[in-house]
Amino acid sequence: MTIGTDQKESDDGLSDTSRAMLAMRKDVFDLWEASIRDHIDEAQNVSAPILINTMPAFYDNIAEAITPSYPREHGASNTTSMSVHGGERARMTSFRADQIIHEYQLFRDAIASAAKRRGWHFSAEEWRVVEVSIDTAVRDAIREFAQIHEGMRERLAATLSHDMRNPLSLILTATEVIARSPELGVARQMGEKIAVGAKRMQLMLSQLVDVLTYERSAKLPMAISAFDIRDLVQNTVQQFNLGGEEKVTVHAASATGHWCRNSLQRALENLITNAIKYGDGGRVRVQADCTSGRLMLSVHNSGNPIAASQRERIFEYLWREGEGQGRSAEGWGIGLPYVRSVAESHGGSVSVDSSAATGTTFTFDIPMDCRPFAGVES
Amino acid sequence: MPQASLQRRILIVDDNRDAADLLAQILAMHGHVTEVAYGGPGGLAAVESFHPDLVFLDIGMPQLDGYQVAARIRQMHDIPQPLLIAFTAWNDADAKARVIAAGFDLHLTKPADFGTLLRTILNSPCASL
Repeated sequence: MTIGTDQKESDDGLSDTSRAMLAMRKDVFDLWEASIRDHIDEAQNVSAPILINTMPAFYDNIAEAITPSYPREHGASNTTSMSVHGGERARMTSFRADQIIHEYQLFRDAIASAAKRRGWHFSAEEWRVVEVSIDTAVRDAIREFAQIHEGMRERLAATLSHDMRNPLSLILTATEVIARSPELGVARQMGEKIAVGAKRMQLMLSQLVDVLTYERSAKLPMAISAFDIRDLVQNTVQQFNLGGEEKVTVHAASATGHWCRNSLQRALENLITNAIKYGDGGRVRVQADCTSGRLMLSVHNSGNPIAASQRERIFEYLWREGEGQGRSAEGWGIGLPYVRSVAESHGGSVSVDSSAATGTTFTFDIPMDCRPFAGVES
Repeated sequence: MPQASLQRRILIVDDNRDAADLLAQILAMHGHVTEVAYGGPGGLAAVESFHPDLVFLDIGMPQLDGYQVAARIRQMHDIPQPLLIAFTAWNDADAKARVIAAGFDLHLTKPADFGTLLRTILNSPCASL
């Protein structure tokens, strides 16, 4: 029986080579999986089912196509399974385009090695079918992969410009009020509004630079110093409570530890920005607790929960929630991969807890003393 | 020309209080009668009580978003139907298409050129006439 994309019931009418190829399927996939994990760093944390994906069906399609009389020209003809593969690589993994090409090359090598081990050879015509199949599959996969990335970039651009236009609009409206009003008191009041808008834009810019410039796998530059977490939390929260509205409340005990002040502050700003943006308008609560040598820093908001299927994905690079909850292209912040990177560089982690009843809480869990993780002598 | 034809009743619905208040303030300085609501439910109540000629409606709001508010206003049959303007920082093609599909008359991107905004208001019909 084959598992090709036509779900054929038997292998009647297939040539000996086709049958031999079907018989060694497991060997090929064992070899292929091992060599991908060996050669492609991005594959390390990908589970076997996601890594193998639709490739066994493609493999069986090639086996069928090798029989000259079989109505399939090559392994990637009559099917969209290879563009699906490229799409899933884009959505489910952090593979780059060159690594998708590489995995297909390793796939071709695995077929050749498995055949060689069994002591048989493809004829020139048969091997030609294998190569054409793989070449076509790579093109299909990369085309889809590139399209999805293009879509992600467009959504990112739309979201970023949206986020910047709001404070910009506030600033411009305030200048119109000043131009129209003869009263100095009104002008002063508008000046404060302009300052609020400008500071929001400044914060967005620094977050944007963080997101676009940090290397996903690289460690962040850390400048470790001793400071009181309560000071950092209060200073950070202050920027969000400008203009008299107490949007964010703080529950933090005084506790001194060793961390990177700058990156920790940026991570906290990111979490608070998200909590305000995606919460239901209720107060955001920031809490800092220090117990048994660890700092638990959490940011809580009430409102729409994050679906279970999305809880891990929101930490992925350039990932944004698509349509849903009536929220246009809006999604969870682009800053979360950065937040996770900050937590990991401190030797800790960030997690999310979200339900309709309890709201959404992001918790940063890091050691009180991060010097060992930043390569600093304690 | 009578003064009334230059004056409109304008409702502004935006969850960003500063954005709503400032727009109301500047439009009042230009002689219009304004009302603000800081969310979808408040906006719907204001449409019923204030009978605006036009509504500037933000899209991204918690609880009820701008699309939902617009659709509900269009289902109100006991009030003069106002001109609905989506006043939003979303300006991609998808958002614009969705805005019109939801029942809005116009899409205006934040920040809007103030001259354009005033002309849009003066060119709009008075719903109550």
